[in-house]
Amino acid sequence: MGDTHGERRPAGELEAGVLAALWAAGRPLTPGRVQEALGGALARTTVTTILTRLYEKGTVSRERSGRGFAYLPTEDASGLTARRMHAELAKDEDRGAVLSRFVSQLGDEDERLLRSLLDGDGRPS
Amino acid sequence: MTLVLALVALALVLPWGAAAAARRLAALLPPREACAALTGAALLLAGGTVAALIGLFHVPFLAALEQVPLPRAAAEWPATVPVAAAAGAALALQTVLVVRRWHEHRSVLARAWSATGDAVPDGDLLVVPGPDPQAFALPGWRGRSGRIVVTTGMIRALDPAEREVLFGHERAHLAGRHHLLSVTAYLAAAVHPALRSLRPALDLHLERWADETAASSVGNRRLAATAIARAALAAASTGQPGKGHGPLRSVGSGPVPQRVEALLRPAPVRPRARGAQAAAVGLATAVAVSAVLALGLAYGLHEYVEFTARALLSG
Repeated sequence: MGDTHGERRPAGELEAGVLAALWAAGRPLTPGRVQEALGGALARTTVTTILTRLYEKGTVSRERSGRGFAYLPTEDASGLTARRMHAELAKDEDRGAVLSRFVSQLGDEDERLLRSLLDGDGRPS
Repeated sequence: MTLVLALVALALVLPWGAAAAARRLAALLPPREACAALTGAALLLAGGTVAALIGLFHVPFLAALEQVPLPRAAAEWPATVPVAAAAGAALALQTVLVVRRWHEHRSVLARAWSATGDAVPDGDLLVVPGPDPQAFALPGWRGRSGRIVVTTGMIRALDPAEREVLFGHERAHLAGRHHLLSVTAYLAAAVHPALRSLRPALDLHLERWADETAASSVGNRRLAATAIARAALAAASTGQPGKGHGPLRSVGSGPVPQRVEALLRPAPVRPRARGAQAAAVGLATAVAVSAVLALGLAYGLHEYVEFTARALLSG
């Protein structure tokens, strides 16, 4: 019971969703807030378990909040990863064969086309 | 002999037609099969090209092996030496290009991994703080499993359901080891210029494959379409136009609108109509035949040289 579609997925996949919710918030969140942010896709206990696991791995830090904890994603102290990664991304060589981006650059017409596709899709049918 | 050499050299023209056939074939197939067809075609046609070049290159050496010394071979068959020299130069150039591209591939991977630092915890998501909405799949490396790299800008541009589309998409790239298909086409393109046209086609179909996997993992095609469109629009609004976009930047309808449009249509299936099936089989056959033909011509040339050399010595 209460076994939603989301909870049958591997733990790593659930962690990604929870971690992303914390980064999106940009402030410490309690398990209840995380559950809300995810639109109730996961049970509260599942969220708590995942947050505890992320905390044990050092991916998130936590602070006291009322009777429980509020969680916050950790950045490495110097932001070194971010700077190095941005430097890599800024390079202009042909990375296509290695790192495939989620979305490629848009052509001149693409932006207009995308908006019209989405508008057309949103129209009541 | 000149005529036979010309016939084998003709095999080097075939990939232009065959690559076009492979692209037509891919357009008829669902993404996964299209990727297999394009990568297979790239491998086969590159193989055929190398076989034909080796065939042309080895004629003087084979003649020498058959006791026809080089000066005599050059006198009897004037085209042999210049053709062998040209084929040898082409083979050397290909080798240099393939080795260089392979190193380039490995070094991009190595640098991207070293940029993640060693302190990265386990788990498949790596968040990079930064406003630019970007996301990509970082393939596994030296025993470390692949990662989804995403900026906070991208995370904030999407809602939680759309983020699951993004994660599903990148996981599909990682699980399917799509970068290996992509690099295969990249290396094949170093062997024959006609095969360059397979790369943008393969890249599009790989994205489509990942899109379809993501759509079925979230169980909603429209959600997947919206997520991709929103991510692309977010990236476009903060990107710096004019700052090096590489050769793939398209004017007009680029890959993103095509992907969104495809997701707004029903899920792709293998061709069902007789006509489409026949076309797919015909195109696949054309690609296979042109690769096998190149191989066959190279082998035929070998036999022909042996035969003529013996005839020359006995006659």
